[in-house]
Amino acid sequence: MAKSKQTKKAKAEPSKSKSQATKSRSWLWKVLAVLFVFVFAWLIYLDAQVRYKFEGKRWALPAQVLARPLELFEGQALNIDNLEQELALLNYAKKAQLSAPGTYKRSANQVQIFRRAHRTIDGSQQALRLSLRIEGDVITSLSTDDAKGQGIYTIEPYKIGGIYPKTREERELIAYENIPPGLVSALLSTEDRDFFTHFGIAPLAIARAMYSNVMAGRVVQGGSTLTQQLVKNFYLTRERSIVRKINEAFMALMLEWHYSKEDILETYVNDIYLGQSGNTAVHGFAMASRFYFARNLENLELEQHALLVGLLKGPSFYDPRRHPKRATKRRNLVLSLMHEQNWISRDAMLKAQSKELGVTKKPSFKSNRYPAFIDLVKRQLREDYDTEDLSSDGLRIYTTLDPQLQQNLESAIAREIKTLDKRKRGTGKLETGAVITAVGTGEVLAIMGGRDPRYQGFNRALDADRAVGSLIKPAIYLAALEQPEQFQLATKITDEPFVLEFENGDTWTPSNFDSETHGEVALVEALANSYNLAAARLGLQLGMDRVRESLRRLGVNEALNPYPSLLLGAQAMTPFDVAKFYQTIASNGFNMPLRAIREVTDHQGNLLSRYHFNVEQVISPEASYLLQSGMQEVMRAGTGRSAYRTLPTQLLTAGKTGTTNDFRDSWFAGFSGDYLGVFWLGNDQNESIGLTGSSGALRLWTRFMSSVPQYPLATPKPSDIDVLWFDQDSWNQTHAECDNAQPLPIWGDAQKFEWQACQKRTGGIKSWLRSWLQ
Amino acid sequence: MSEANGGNKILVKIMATVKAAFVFLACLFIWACSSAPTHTLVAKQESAHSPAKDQRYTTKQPNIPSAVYALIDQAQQAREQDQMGGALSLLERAQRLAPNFSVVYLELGHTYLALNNHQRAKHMYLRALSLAANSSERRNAQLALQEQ
Repeated sequence: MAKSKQTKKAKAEPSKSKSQATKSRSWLWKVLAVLFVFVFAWLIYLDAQVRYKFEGKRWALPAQVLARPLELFEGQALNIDNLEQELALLNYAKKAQLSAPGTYKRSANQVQIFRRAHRTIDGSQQALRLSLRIEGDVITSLSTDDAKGQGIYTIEPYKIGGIYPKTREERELIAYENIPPGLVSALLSTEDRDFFTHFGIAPLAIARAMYSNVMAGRVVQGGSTLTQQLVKNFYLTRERSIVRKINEAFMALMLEWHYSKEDILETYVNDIYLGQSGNTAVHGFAMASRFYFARNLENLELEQHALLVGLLKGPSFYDPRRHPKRATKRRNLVLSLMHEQNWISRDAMLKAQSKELGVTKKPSFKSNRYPAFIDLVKRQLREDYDTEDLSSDGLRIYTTLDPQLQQNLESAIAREIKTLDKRKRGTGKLETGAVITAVGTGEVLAIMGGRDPRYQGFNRALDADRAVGSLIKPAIYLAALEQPEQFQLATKITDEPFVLEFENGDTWTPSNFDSETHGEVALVEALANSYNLAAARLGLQLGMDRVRESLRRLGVNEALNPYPSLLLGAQAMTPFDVAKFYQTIASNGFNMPLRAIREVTDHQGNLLSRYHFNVEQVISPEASYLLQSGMQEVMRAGTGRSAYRTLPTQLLTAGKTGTTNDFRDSWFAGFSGDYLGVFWLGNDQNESIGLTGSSGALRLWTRFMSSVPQYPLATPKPSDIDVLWFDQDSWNQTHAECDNAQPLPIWGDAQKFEWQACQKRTGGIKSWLRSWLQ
Repeated sequence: MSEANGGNKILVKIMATVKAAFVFLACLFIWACSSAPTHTLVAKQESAHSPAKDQRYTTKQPNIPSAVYALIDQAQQAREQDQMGGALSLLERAQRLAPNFSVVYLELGHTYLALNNHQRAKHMYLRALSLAANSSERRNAQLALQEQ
């Protein structure tokens, strides 16, 4: 029994171990099955990831913001030094001979330029040689080797910045068919010689690398294919681990399985990191070519392709600007590898190795060199585009910024503000905001958001909402001059003190700047000398509604101060708002939007939006002509006259000064035939700076205007306007020959003026000349 | 005799000097008349006077560069081929080169009229009228305003 039990037991043992083995095998199968499912799911996930990113929008491409292209034609106003500055900005090299596109030559008043090929909104522009003669700030002759030309040529627009995604990557795309063969051979011979034959990973290369590393006792060679490198950069993190390495291998296989070699190579060429511009990363060979050589990738030489490929190993370590020796050594190694693999001959290698690196001294672009202007561009674009699209679709934004004028503006402010620092009152830092526009088109040409042009913060030109003081007065005088039967420039108005009582018992007692009163004065005299009492009385006589309506028509859209203090400028506006207001006056009564953008295209050059010139007549040409004449008197004999200590007399201008209570704000807005400039000066704490419009902002304006070639104000005289002569003291009508006589435009003949006999006649040539001029 | 001769010589010299001075002054006068001070491009000069008071109201437009006419021709061709976007772009380029040239605005007006944008055309014609530098430009702008 016991035996039998034992036997049973003995019999039971193997069966138990068998069931245990079965059990463990089944567990193993289960685990394996789970593992298989897990791996399968993981592979499906990886595959989805590979395909999703590769087939979707591969990169967030920043929008490129471009300045206006410089136009060259006979008769164009152009200062030769400013031209050279712009060429330097565009990385044109000054040479004795025009050897290649991107070079120029200057001798006395002649400039020869080998223009680079580029694209403008009017299409592709070929590289060509231009020869200019510049005399008296005008192009007097222009010749070129282009037989079909229309006599007008552009230089490529300067890239003034970008609208970046959060990753701050700078990239330009190139299609596979446009990748230069020299770059491909340099890339393959250095990074992956079997690229066109392997299937994503190259076991032989890995073995070769392992052998080299073991022999050297450290990592000296990598075995990654281009596909693996792309996977690493495109999909994965920089972490070094076995799991990542395995993922990389699988994803490389999948990439190769789904996509062609050409697709993979194109993506690699556009994706790879090749340098750093400030806080912006430079990606892709096309952008790197611009960054290091200021040239298109297609136009590079063999040794330049080799240098870019050499940088792949370490863009910072081999930075050709900071470490030219290391970079040269690395470039020459790439060239040797190309020769070893029979891509180039020995002679070609030796010749290329003997060349200089050829990188430009400075990067061809700096991210956001003009932050205040880019800020304006972004605000105007936001009306039509999503922020996401702006920083990811690679849009090309053609703007109106004139780099020459911007440079002049920056220099004028830098130079003048130092002097004003010494004269100002108070401890607050003197700050400024300025806007320059083209009188005829409403294009914004230059802008300053503060005294430091590179500061990316508070943009005072667009956001400093400050009381405008007497800048408001032209709106009052316009409202008057629109009623010619009642008001002309020579009409007498009263500059006497008064007290205005409100219903609640409050009173308003305005006074003149110098606390003096002037009795009966001509309207033009009150405007020129900025008499407060005369302006306030006139405004009240006309009615606040009429003044407000006149402000509205001039383009002031802000909520207006409901009280009479509006008449003396208790109305906050930004320099940009003031520019809109004065633009209407400068353009002779036509309201035109201030535009910072001309056109937007996608990255292939297809037009997306065009911002057309638009105009609406809001003031009659006659009233506008009278107002401009009055504002010319401000410059000739009024509060703006100190400008002519610097400006040439031929440059007729019109303008207005503005000063606010306790000298907190100093304003000046004025224009010539070409440019309108609005300048504000003050401090961010809204404290007194002790400067008037004349002693502060006018100086900045004058410095800027004197540095720019331009035409004087020359508004055609409407046929209903006659020019009569008036005595400058009494403002009675008089003879043109009288010594103290001065001409004033008069609209219609409804008003009769008091006549004054001549004090003293000046006969002869002078009198004849005067009547001839009249 | 010799004294009288000497006196004559002095007189002749004085007369020659007076004549030379007269010729010089006449040249100076002609030069002053011919160089009307208002139409030259001005910049980067220093001066210590404000503009002459009678210098104003006699101004005329600067010369129109030939490139502007070339652009206007191209724009007219584009308009004839019904490429209105291209025509506007060319005209706005011409406008940037010569912003006070009345003809550019007349052409812009014609283009907007072709686009059936009567309101915009009207304001372009008004701008052309306000900038008309001679009677023919004024007449053309007035005609365009009447016809639109």
